[in-house]
Amino acid sequence: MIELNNVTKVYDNEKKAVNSLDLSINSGEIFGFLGPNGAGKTTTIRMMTGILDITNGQILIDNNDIEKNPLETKKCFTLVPDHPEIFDAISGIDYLNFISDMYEVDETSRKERIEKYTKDFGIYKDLNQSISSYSHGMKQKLLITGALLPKPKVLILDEPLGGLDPKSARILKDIMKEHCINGGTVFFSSHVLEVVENLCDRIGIINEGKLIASGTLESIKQKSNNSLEDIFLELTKDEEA
Amino acid sequence: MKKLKLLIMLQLKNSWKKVQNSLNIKNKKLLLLVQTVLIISIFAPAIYFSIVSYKAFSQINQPELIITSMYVNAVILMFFLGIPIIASVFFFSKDTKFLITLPVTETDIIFSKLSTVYIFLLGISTIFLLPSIITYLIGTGFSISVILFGIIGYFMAPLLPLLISALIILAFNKYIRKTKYKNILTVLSNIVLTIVIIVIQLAITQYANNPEQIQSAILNNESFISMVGSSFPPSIWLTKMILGSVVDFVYFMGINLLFILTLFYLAKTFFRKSMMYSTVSNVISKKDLYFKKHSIAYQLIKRHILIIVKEPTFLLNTVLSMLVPVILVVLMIFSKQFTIDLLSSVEIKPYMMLIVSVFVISPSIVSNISSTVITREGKAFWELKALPIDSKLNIKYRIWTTIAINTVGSFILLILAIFIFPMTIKMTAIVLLFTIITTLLFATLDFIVNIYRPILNWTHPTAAVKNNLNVMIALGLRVVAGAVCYLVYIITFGFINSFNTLIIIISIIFFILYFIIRYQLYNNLVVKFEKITV
Repeated sequence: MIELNNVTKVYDNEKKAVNSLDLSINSGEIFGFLGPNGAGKTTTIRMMTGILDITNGQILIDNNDIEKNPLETKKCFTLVPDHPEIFDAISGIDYLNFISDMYEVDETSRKERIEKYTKDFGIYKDLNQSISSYSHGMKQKLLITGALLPKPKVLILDEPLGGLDPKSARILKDIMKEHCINGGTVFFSSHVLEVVENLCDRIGIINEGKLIASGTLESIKQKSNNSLEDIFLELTKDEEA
Repeated sequence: MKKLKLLIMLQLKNSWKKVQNSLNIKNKKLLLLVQTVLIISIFAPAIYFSIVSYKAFSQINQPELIITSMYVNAVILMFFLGIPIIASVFFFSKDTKFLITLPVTETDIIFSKLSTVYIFLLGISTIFLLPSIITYLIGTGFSISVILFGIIGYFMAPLLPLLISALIILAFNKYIRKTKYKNILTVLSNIVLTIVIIVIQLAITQYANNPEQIQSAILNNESFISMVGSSFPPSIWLTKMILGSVVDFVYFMGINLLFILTLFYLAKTFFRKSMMYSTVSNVISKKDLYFKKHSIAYQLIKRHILIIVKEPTFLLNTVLSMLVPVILVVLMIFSKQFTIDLLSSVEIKPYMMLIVSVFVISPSIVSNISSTVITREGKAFWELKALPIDSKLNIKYRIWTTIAINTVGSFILLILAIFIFPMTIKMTAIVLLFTIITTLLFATLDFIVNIYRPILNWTHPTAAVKNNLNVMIALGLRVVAGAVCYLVYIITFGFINSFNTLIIIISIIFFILYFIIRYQLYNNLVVKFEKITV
């Protein structure tokens, strides 16, 4: 469902943020993308979603090339970014209707989904409020709701659990599992190793732009008897230190 | 007192840094140069007006009226500018939450914030009042009392408008703190301010050109200045104080002291009722939720219009650029500088077509909003990039938004023109054609400017519009377009003896240019647009 072939991103002709990244994620999988700050996780997600152009390589989502066929590719996924920098002078319901129109979600479905997800996340009564008055967590919930509205084949989430309360985090985790059971794919980055450990079918660890480990949790753990946290720290430790 | 001093220094440093950052110039020498040029460009006309006004008032043996008039002008400006600034500093400042947690008194926070407003208003006093006091001082000989009371008057001048504005804000805090009222307040106060500036400008020009008018105006007590001066006694007290009257010094100081004490007394209420609300969210809406489906075009145009409407800086920039030609014409009509008879005169009649055309297309000329249509979106620009929208559509609806806004502005002006100017149906049709083509051309051209210079990581909306070099480039392109028009006029001189035909020829040239530019945009610059990143 998601293919990253030799993907490289170079900033200002000198800084390699992502270096020859190869990844393959199947339908029905939850893939956890791990890495320390500045490892290249967000850059990878931005390239996957067409926000950043790719210096080298190819990204396919549902067999669509994000660079050659951006429109069809973007219809296959939705994104929840790490920082909810959105046009926030409008109300929550304006935003959700905007997203619904962009993905051509019919009125009955959007009503049903908006009511379901916003009630689950506890922001239903705030939908007529301006987004600028929302807390960080509320904005995050709104963005997640927006991403779920079109029922995309691929759900891409960048640090989705930051700012969520335990109940909402649990709801999101359940939604991610349900999405995969129904044949969808989830690609998400996170710092919370415990969540990745419990939720993901497969994980990828990126450090300094390079993929340093990839596979099921068991296959990564086979190399060591340590916990994921120890493995992560061992793999990503600064070699110069 | 030490804490208050520290707070004031912090607020002043913060304000000064914001002013410097808003210029968006990183080179320190260039920044200094720009600041110097700006200061000179502000002071030069102010000094000139002071000298001209002094000479005019001296002719009627009342040179001291220069201080009265300039003080009244300065107070009006400070009052109208003070309202939005105080509202912004108290209700919408992001540092309020931080300051509340510090171990300082509420009064200290209020007075430290007011000090930044005071310094800003003192700048206005420096532009308007100080040159007039100095001119008076030079003109009448250096007397110690004029120097002493002049200095006191200059430093005290911002206090009254500042305190009156603050008390008004306090009285209406319940309404002002609501976002929608804040936007309306900002826009309205700035429109009033623009009108006031134009009125002052027109009055000064009139007085400078016709000194006898001052004498008759003062004698008949009909002039704007004498009217406001007599109904605003502090201006008379200040003038007499500078002339050496101790009684008026007491009056002037007394009224200022009274307002300071009132504000001091109300400071805590001000803090509780106003500042604390900056941490409270919007008013709860009881509207029903809607789930209506709309087209992508509707949603994108609505989004770009709302980006303007919901941000006071963008709204003000757009509205004022639309309204300035209207305000100017209306005021000129009221001040009788511009009459219908004048338009019917033999000298003006041949140029009527040209005047009407420029008047109606002025929104497209002045309002270069397309040059910031990407920039305005700021950090939210990523949103549309991640959505399944074709880049060409994304570009198209951004330009359409500008065209829609400018067309509304031009349409209002066209209706106004039909009432003001003796226009025929043929003239109206030609002006309409010219307006449509010019609007299309400039909206497309400006958008290309923004593709080449998208500034998305701005922290304050002012940086996105006023201090964006794109605006200057866009204005420069209009000068080039004007030069093209002039060139056409020169080339066709002798062949074409009607401005109607000239406007049609220019329209055709602009239409061809539009198609070339449009082709370039949608075929060669889409990739560049797609590469724009936050």
